[in-house]
Amino acid sequence: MALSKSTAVFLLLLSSVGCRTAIPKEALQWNEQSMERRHLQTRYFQTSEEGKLLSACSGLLQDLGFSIDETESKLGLIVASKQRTAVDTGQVIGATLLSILSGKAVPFDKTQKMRACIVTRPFADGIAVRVTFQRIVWNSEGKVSHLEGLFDPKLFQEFFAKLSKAIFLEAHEI
Amino acid sequence: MATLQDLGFVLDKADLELGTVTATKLEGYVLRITVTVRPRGTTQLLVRANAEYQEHAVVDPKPYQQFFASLSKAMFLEAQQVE
Repeated sequence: MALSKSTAVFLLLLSSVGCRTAIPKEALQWNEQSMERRHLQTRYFQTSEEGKLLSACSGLLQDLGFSIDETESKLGLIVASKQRTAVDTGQVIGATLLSILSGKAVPFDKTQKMRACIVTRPFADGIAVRVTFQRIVWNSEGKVSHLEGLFDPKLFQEFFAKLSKAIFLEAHEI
Repeated sequence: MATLQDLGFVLDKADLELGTVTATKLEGYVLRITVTVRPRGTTQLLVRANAEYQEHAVVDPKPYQQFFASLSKAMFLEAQQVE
């Protein structure tokens, strides 16, 4: 059956709207990565003082340049964020050369917002601390260029190394 | 809260009294979810999840089924005290 031009355009628009609103299949699905991430993002501390541990976490986030956005101590939750430049010299040089060659403005990453969330909970005879990170990057045209979670193992190793040091300080008030 | 972190979300807010948790997942897209937990009778809890993907409400049942399956797994791990 032949479609009229307007019907074809309507169906094309309808299918594109459907594509835009369908969430990725794996977005809410547990998989092997979920357990790996749990191990990557969680450390256990042998202490019963959850309040002091939360306080140390809050202090560490601020030491790292974050501002505290939300807290719910009874749930062991701290949410924080920081906004920084995302300008990378190499990328700027590349974008500049490309724009010279093509005659068109080529955007480069300009600012980024990093978000962190810490959740503490009783575990065995101590407390488990889990931290998660994500970031949003905007380019020089004001558009979002990256939306991503951060999963570099080094990031978490360094974070927990600093937290261990802080707890030691926290346990021994100066 | 643990389930949402397992699924790659960063929590935005939580309120113990209201029983709500809101979180955002950024992986090339923006997925925001609010989960509400409240008592149902004396022995049960009622859990409601409400998601929005890229500024559109999620009305497909499959993602919610996947979320509740993930929640069941996390609760099993919690009961086994596995990290």
